[in-house]
Amino acid sequence: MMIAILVVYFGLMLFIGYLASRKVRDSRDYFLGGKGFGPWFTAFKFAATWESGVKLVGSPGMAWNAGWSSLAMGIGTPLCYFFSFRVFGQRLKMAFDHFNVLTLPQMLEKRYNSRAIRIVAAVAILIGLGGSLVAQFKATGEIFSAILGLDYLHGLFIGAVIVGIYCIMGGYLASVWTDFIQGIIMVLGSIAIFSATAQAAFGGVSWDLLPQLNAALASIDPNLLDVTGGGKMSWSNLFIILAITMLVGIAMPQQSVAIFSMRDVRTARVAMIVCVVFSAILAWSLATTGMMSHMVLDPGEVKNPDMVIPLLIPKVLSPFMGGIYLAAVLAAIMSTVSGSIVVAASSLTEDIFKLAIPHRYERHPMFYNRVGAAVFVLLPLLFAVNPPTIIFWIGVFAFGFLVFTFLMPMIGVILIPGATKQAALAQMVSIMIIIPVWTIWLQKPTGIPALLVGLVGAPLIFFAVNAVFKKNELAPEIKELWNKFGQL
Amino acid sequence: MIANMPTSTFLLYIGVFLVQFVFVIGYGIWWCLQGRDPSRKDKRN
Repeated sequence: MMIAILVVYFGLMLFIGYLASRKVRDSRDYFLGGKGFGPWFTAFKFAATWESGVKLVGSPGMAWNAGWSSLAMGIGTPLCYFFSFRVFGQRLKMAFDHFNVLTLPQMLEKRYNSRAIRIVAAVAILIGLGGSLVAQFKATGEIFSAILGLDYLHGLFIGAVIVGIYCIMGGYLASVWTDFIQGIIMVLGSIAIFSATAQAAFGGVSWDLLPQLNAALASIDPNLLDVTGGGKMSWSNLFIILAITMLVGIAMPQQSVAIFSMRDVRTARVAMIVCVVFSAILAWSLATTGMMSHMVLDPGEVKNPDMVIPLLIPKVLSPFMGGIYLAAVLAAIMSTVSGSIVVAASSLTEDIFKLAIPHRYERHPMFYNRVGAAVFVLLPLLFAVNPPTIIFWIGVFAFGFLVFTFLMPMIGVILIPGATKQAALAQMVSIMIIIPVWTIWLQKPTGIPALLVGLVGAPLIFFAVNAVFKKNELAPEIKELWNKFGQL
Repeated sequence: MIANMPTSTFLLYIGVFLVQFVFVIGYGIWWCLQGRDPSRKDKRN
């Protein structure tokens, strides 16, 4: 039954890829879906890309291990959506439309009037997203093989082929449509496993669930009720993660593309609400499921927290609902992978091919767009078979590398009218060197996380260089953009 | 102890709830109800 549901799910994803491919006519459709998405598609694209498969398996595991303290992560995600849509989103969308571009590096080029910034930005996306795609493909292979009962290579191949085919065929449009379906499956799966676990642990969901759960947890391990999880939850790390989470919408290209492709600036308002409702359902249902698992599972069989969900599914869910939850886990990871493939492909084709081979690209743009997407399916697939050391390290530092490379140049686009190209370029290049070097060689001996170095270093470098090269007169195009911001 | 959990943990529980449902969703609804509609101006872009 489970396999049948997964086969239907895979078939649906491929069918959506086929439908999207029939609607895609040019690069604007392929990389931005025609820029006509309303709040529901925007919200599901943004949230499903951000809330990866790790959440559906990792959150219940973390709650099993650290109890209520794991809920602290639930504060970060709604703030991420608030900052992404309310604080940055409308201006980002307005700036993207103002410069009339297709990719984030092109927007930076037009804002700062610098071809070098576009090339550096494209290279950062290719390295950061390319490296994180290898890690995501590796996770895909591991989750697919665990769920389908196959070996790693077969799981990797099946996952990569399905997500690869629909991304190459339908580009961003396929990614958004599949993310919408995948988001719904994630919500249904989370509610299903929550109610089934409550049924198995306490006879069902009732108003007494909270005191009942807490009394049961106190008898098993009082640390599960402690606000620090008995020391398992590091609040200092949590604050760094919270600070970075707020910057995701502006500084991660695979997230900000959901904002660029909105129908209009007002879309951000409803999209923010939909995202937070989505995230709240996942956060509460998955955290409480993890804690209630203590009443359902034998502690001896849970060798590590990530095993909570695989062990829970056959115990509390019917084969049909088990299939839905497994589809939800696969959906979560596939939505994250598809978002990265399309954005990486857009940088390769629009910012590298278009500059290197302009005449050939203009003759067959869709061919080269699909080649770009195929490159970011095949190369990560090859590397994920047996990742070399350098690729392993890129996977480790990719998140901080991307967030801090784009942080201040993007903030400059929407919040600092006097931001200069020298400051943007200096910050980008410095961070592209500092984050890998710190992660590989300095993080362990100093005990200072690379993310903290990026969080402090990026604004420092930017403002220091900006102070040196600051001009008093703004370019007419920047003045015009700021007039538009004034209408918000 | 509130609902059989320590007060500090209960505050975390309520804090997460308030951030999600009052701060962001509540603010979002208020934001949606605001009359100004820049989308029409934006469509000229």
